[in-house]
Amino acid sequence: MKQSYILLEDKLNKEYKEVFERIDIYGSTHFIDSDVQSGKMMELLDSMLEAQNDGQSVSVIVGNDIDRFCKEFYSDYTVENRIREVPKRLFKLAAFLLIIELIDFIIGLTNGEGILRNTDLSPYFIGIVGGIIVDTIVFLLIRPLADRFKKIKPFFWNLCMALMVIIMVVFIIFVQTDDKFAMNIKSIVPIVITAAYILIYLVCRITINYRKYGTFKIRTKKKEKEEISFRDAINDGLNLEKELPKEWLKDYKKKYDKAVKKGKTPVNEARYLENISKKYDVKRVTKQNIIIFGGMTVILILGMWIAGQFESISDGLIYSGILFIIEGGLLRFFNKSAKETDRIYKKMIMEIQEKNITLEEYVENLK
Amino acid sequence: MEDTQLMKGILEGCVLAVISKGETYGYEILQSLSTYGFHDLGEGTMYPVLTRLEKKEYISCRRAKSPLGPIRKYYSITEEGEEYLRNFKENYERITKCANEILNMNGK
Repeated sequence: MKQSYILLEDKLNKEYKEVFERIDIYGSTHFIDSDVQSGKMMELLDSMLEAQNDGQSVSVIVGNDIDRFCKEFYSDYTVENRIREVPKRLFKLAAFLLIIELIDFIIGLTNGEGILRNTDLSPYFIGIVGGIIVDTIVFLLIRPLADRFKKIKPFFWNLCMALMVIIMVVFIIFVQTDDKFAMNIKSIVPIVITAAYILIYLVCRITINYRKYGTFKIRTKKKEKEEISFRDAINDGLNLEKELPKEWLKDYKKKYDKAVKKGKTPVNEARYLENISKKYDVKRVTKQNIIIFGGMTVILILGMWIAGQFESISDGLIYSGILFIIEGGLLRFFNKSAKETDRIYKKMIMEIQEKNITLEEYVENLK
Repeated sequence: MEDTQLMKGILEGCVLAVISKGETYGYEILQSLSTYGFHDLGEGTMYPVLTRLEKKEYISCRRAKSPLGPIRKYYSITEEGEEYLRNFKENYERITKCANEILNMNGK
């Protein structure tokens, strides 16, 4: 959900976008929780789009002093909020660690190691230390630079922070290979600790929800029935039903002009639309995706087997299973996009034929 | 020069009064306040007010798609909010009456 508004901010003009990005980077460099920041920025984006549509200057929304605006805008995110976020962040971290530990534990069991096998905790502690170092560098260096050099795009500052995280990960891997940093402990211990924390957190959250809302269900799930999810807002905001025909029209005009310039006979609109139909034919695209993703998965797994990368058959099966799940997810995503494109195309063709209009007229009617 | 402390004191009541007229959202509240003379308010000052009012449960909020794409938060006043607004109006009238008398007294 973090930065889901990024896809929508392209609707802002240059003046608004510059200010929006400055406010965004202020939030990122001042350690505002990503969900909180996402909610605030989404609401701000809505106000900015309305003001822009009304022909107002961005100063109507943010005033003349953007730094002061940022301080006020995020002023309700207090130290108390930050402290309250800690259990939630620890919950997410514990869930992630538990998955890693369980996979490691299962692999150990399948390799014939007992349940009292040892595991090395040093990567976790080094990760925590590394995280503190990264946050310190952001606080002492990145944030003052971003406040000072306001013209530089947020992408640059986000890239700096991402690079630091990559360096930290490389450092962790490097340190882990050195045995003198090893912190061996029975592998069942971190599993019990993380599982216990997750359980306690969920019990507390359910209890709080019950006392506050009279339901044992997690509030967000109850609210989702009434509210629109961020993903739906993004999809509707992007409005592919308008954007895709616009793109097709742009592409058709480009090809038409190119052919005329070269002295060739340009493709007529009916032929062009027929070509799109073949290009985005859902059965063909779905089959193509299955061949590409399925083929890639099989080649990767076979390659690893042949190269002797798996220590045992069970290792191989687990990694293959994980790879299938990831590739399956990607395949599902691309097939869903293909079906959506096909639906939009068929709707467009039906309307063009029924009303006997051109592609340009259809796009004009969409405005 | 605007007195920010004075502004902060009355802004909660004014924002709540705007919301009490009917379900509304951030930019609309800003426009309403601007109509009544609160220029250069900016959403930076208004957002913390809305958050405080929501925390105190004087307003409730629901999320829905806006016509322009992003998710929009729509605010409505609650019963507690209406009671707070009534008290605020009474206190405001009493305080401004006293303040006017003092200020006019110095002017005589």
